[in-house]
Amino acid sequence: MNISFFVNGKGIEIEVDPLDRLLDILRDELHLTGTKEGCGEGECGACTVFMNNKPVNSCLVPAMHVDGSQIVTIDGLREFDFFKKIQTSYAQNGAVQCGFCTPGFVISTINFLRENYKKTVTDDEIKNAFVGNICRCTGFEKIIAAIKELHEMNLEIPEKFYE
Amino acid sequence: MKNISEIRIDAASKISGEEQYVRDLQIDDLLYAKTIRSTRAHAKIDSIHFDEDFNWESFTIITAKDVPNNYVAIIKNDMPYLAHETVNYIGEPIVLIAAEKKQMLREAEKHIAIIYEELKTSLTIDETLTKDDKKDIFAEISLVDGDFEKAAVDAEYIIEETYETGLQEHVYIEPQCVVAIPEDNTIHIKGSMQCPYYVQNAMNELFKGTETKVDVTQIMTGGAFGGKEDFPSLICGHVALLAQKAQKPVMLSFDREEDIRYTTKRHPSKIHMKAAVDNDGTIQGLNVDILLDSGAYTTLSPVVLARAVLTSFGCYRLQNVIVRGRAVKTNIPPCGAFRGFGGPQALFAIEMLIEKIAHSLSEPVWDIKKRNLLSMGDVLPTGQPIDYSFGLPQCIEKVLISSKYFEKLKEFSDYNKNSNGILKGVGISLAAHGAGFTGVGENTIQAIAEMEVLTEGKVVIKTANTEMGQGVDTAYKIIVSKRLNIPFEDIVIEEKNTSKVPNSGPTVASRSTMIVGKLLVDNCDKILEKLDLSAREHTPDEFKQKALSFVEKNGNIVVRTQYKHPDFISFDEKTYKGYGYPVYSWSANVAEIEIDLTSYQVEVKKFYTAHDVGKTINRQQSEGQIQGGVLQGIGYGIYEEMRIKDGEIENRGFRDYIIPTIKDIPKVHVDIVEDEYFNGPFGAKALGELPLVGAAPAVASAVSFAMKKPVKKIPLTPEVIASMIEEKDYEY
Ligand code: FES
Ligand code: FES
Repeated sequence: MNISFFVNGKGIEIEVDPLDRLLDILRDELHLTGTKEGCGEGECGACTVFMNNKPVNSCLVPAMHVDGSQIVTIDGLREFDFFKKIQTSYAQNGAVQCGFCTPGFVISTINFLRENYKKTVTDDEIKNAFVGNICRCTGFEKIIAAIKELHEMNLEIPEKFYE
Repeated sequence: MKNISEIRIDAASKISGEEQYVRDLQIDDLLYAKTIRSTRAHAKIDSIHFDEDFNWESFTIITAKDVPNNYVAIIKNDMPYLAHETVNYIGEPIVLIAAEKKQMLREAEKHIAIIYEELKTSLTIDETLTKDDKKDIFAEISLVDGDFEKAAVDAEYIIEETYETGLQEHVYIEPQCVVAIPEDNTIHIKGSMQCPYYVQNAMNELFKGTETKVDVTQIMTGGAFGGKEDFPSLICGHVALLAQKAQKPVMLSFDREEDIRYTTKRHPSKIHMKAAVDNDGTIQGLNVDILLDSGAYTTLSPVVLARAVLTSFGCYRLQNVIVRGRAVKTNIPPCGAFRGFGGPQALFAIEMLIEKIAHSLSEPVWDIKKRNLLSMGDVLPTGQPIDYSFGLPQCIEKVLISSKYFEKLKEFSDYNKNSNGILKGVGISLAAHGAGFTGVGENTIQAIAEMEVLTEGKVVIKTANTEMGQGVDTAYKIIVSKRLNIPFEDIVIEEKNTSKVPNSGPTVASRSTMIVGKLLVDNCDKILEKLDLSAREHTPDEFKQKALSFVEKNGNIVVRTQYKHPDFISFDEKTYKGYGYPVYSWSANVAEIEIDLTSYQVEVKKFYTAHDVGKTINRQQSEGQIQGGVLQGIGYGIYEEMRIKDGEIENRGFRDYIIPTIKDIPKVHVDIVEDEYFNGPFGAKALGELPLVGAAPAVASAVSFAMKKPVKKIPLTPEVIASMIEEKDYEY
């Protein structure tokens, strides 16, 4: 079947297998490999991308739902200034070990910062916001430290990344 | 010494998603592979049928008869790449197929039928032992020190118990994935793995007597924890065989379900401990019987067992000791390496036995620990003296202060008196982890690390030690940067490809920093000597000047160092006497928990730990390792349960194999103690595994305190808590 949608601001028309998931389209067809697959069942968050500006597990989105949507992946966020701040904070806080969960965490972080811009948040609120992202290496503490630091920086995240 | 950054060299590329893991490689003409597996736990393979009406033309197919040498070279070479006449566990590979599209594989699988003739299964340690067949014991170890029988007769009390631990799955977030790329007579293997030379060795054996050559490259590995130590040898063989037949690249990538159900796990254990104890709680003798469930094949069981035996002493001063260890075959998927490697099972048992001694004598747990505590100058039951790098006392001091352990004991026991609905507990564990290989394993491996100074003054580090998240690449850069006094930018880490780097041994046993890091220090010193800079008073610029002019005149500087233990370190494999390990790392841990009496769920609220790691090479990453390891240990203690029914692992993924999430984490307080080891780089010894080892016993101790009942089994799932409440065991 044929679908058309936007990825990182670029219009795409592509023939896909109806059994494909958004994750397969991104990784196998478009070679956007920044998005990872950890479980394929919506439990680990490694595959998180923005779909119509909301974070979703791309392993759970069937190809037909992708038609007409706006997708933004980690690969399309690298050049933004706010991304560089996130990158620095994650690195400096030691929030990365094997790195396989990291792109998913970064997408969730961007969403969290946008939703909580200039709001006060509790530790529990942070934890609730990231419950869909699993990390087996770090014990989460240093990731939380990075998220807190970023939140305190009041980073402005645009409402939309691409027109 | 100048301040060297702790920031990981791979952080930026991992955060941006630009780091390439195996699955991210773009490979032309790639075929995908699938494994057709046994659905029987123990059976004869009668026949394999390929549906004649199905078009097999676009498939590459491999069965046992296509494999030149069908046994995976690990320790005993008893596990076939593909089952031949019999299958020994549910999930055992029987047929491999490869094709251009994954959907084709799913379709083809339906057209393969395997006819079995059932054989009698043995699914638990006990079932196997009743058969009483020597062949089912994969490894046996015995150690005797003094006279336990006499100690037992003389002692005031005999205190004994049987302890059980379950399977644990690694759950690296990147599932297993390997690819084989044929080129002329050579097959290039690339994969997510810990030990490229283990795979190289296995491939050499697989293709022995044929024209095929293999080289192996480790690609950035998304977590491993032991799960990519021995297992990749099997699946690299699979892709190599397919690629060789198809003459096209072939990738095998597991989905989570396949990974959870059919890869190696931590060995379940059943450990009986019996102590001869004096009136005052002094242990006069200890008799330990360790049984590990190996699953269907030997894999690494003999060495996992060795570590279990040597960890069963805990951190206590013991005499009159008998330890018998056996690794037993059953018809479940083979168990293999997992962070801690037999240690967590044994440590859980000895820590719980100490608790039982305390309960029996109506003494506080800490008093019994203290009474029997190892101290500097003591001798282990192996005969090894503890006379250097012994930071346990400082660890204990730190953790007792940070946790306010004694105040909490009082506070929580008061709380529990009036509590309805919630019980609070605080528990303590002490852990030792032998650094590096058991015994004189290092002398067998003879690890070599190489360094090269290039024309542009850059220094290349060549080792086979792999980055799997633990930060080894950054640690090596820090070591070399410090020793040579040169900036990070001038240091290059060579690709972990067996045709480019020497065999510096596997990335296991918490050995990479201590053993190979030390080889790098020695290499640095050799370079400095050549450059006349041995005084180490030079600036980075002076190094560069000297290096450039030396290389211009004499060509690249290449230095190599081979590891050998100091002469006094010897070990007798038969009697288990001598140095079990060249040195130990130590930890003291306190856990605070709550038990919800409606759901029976245990929650760890706070965790305090102090680790003696000799010297931290990268403090931030050391803390990260400790926090992550502690959480994996907490998972082992209370959440992570694999269920086996009729030999089949029932867990399918993250929904039914529960690991700790961000909501389950306690606040982890980390203290690091640095009691330097004379033979490690800047004094560093082992770190990677220790954090996991002490965590579950601390949690179990806290649960025992809260419930006033002994803990005999982990994980402490709600079902286990419920049964503890029911059970008529003693209360204290
Ligand atoms: S891969 Fe999509 S949530 Fe795990
Ligand atoms: S860093 Fe390895 S899973 Fe998070």
